[in-house]
Amino acid sequence: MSEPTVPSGLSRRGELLLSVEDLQAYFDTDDGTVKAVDGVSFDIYRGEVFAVVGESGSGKSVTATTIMGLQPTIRIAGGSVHWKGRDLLAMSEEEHRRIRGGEIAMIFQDPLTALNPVHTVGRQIGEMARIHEGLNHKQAHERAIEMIELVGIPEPRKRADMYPHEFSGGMRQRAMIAMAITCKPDLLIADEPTTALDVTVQAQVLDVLLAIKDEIDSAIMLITHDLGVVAGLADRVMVMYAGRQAEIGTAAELFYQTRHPYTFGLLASLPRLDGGDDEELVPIDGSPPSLIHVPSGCAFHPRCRFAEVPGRCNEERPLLRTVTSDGHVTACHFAERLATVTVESIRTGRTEVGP
Amino acid sequence: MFSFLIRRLLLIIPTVFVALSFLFALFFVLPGDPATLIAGGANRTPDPGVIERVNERYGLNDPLGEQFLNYWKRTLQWDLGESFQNRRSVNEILGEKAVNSVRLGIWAILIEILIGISVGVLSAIRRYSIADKLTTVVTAVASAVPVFVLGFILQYALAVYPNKHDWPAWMRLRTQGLGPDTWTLFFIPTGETWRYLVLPAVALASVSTALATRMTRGSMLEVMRADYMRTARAKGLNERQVIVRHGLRNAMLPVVTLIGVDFGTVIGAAVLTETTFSWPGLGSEIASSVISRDLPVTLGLTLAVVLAYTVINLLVDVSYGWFDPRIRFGKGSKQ
Ligand SMILES: Nc1ncnc2c1ncn2[C@@H]1O[C@H](COP(=O)(O)OP(=O)(O)OP(=O)(O)O)[C@@H](O)[C@H]1O
Ligand code: SF4
Ligand SMILES: [Mg+2]
Repeated sequence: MSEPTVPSGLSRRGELLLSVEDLQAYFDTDDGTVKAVDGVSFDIYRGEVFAVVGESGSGKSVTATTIMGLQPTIRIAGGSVHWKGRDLLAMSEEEHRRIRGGEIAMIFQDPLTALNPVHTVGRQIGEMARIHEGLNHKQAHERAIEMIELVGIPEPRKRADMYPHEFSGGMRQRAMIAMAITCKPDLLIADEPTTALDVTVQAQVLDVLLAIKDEIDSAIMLITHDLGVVAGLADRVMVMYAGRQAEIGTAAELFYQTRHPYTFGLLASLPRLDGGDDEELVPIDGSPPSLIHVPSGCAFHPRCRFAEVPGRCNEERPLLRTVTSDGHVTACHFAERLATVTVESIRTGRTEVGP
Repeated sequence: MFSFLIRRLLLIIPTVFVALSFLFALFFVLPGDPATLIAGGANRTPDPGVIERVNERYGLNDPLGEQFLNYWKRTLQWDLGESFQNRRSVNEILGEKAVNSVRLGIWAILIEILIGISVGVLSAIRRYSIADKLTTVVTAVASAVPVFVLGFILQYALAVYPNKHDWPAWMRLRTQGLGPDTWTLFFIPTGETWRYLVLPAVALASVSTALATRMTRGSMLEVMRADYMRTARAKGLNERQVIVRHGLRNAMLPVVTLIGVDFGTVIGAAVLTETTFSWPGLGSEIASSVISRDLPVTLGLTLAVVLAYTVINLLVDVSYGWFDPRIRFGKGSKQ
């Protein structure tokens, strides 16, 4: 592993926690090999919110669950995942288990199904402290109450003895957050934590998540298919397409110095952030490819309006390369041509690119 | 919770009334004059004087409606009458036979719970293993074979055959009756008694154990795919803790219902099993009382069985609330 360079756009230069390099994680199925994660590299530093964005099926969840060691059927075809310098993929299940929940915790999309219906919320939260810190029943219960209070659920003592079905959706997700942070993890992976919630409580839950991050001084890996959520929250963003990494950079770089046509596509399909006049939203044509039969060359070429086909785009897989700053990396042969392109021009269809 | 209990208890009344009225009616609809059968016994033409005395003693001359009313008046005071055949009080017969049935039933249910649940869980955890495939085949067969057929097979394979071929004594099981009838803690056989208990208990448990195994397996497989199991793994629990703490109780939800229903199945199957193994319980007694048209015995024992069945089901329903908080009655429950 080479000495990591801290990306320029990162305001706080936190400790390097997670380092994923050229990760290739495949599923061998009866229909063929699903290349769910195919050559993804990124680092996560303490204190930052690292967002992972992409359409459904782009490999976001598999990336996260592979780091967590929650994919029993996965085949690691290459690459490495280092956690605080230790190789996660090479360590024993027992060692990985101690990190899981304790140092890296995960929050899932649907808090109703992700919580066990037959145990009280307090017990499920307290269990975390019991396994990682060896607390006894009573101590764990007190800790659970503390955590429930921390995530802003009123009457924590009473709530601890209630069951998930007695909670509202937003409250359940707060409970999930409380559970995840019980042992003050260094990294909190939140896989679409608000997708299953009412629009009105989404913002509240995200606020809780951010406040907690500062409180326990951790990092957040925020998985979402909604660039809008990312805009206000993330320090850095990784855009994934078809199991591969399209672009990675600070939020500002991705929004204002976009260097990948797919990122442009996502931005154009987004309601305008400044809430300006109702321009038409332009969805990306076509749909994401099957991860068994990924298009040749650049996986995005069948949908890319900048593609040169036949040519480099369908013949040669673009390598990740640095563009506007150290930490701004993209996988597009013609990234430089995009410098003059704007989201508005994509929306209106006037996309004149340089040579 | 309380009102639920009351409602369930009140429901017992019509259940019992309908069941017993039906039996009562059946008795008079069946061919043959009851008094003749009672007074005559097997194939003898009885003295008309005797018939008259029998009719007198048991009120069989009264109009049917009056007999029916009288029957219910007595029953409400738990006066179950006496056997037409040997004039023993039905209460006494009930006390004597119920003990044997309950012992057999306890073992059948224990086998169902212990074997059914553990084999089902293991089979699900080791899905597609040889043991799992074997379980699937065995349970499919066991749930299809009638109790008495299985009974005969067991009798031959584990009792008759070993006896004929002088197998070591401990391998020879018994096929008929109670044996020395010695027990501790009410239901644990001591001395030689276990040799007599094993076969009828296994035969009685077979169908429900097979069903419980299959249901546990299916339910466990479903639970293992649940999101909360993934959450449990993400917490850092090991696989055993994930299954024991988070999987089992959820997997048990449908199985608890099945076992509740099985108390009924076991009572029904007990008639055949007890007859096959000459186990002197309520089942074989009801069967023989029906054949000899011994109405008070049939009615009295059936009443006891119906009551026991209803109460057990009530207990099972109440316990279901413990297993699944979502259907817990009363305070704070939504949905
Ligand atoms: N256990 C598995 N076996 C085989 N294929 C799988 C498995 N899990 C995921 N996949 C496949 O891997 C690909 C990536 O899935 P993943 O869940 O990571 O997508 P995602 O980006 O999280 O999408 P979403 O926004 O829908 O959650 C999908 O094509 C999916 O079908
Ligand atoms: S490499 Fe070609 S197809 Fe791929 S994003 Fe760039 S321009 Fe489009
Ligand atoms: Mg996902």
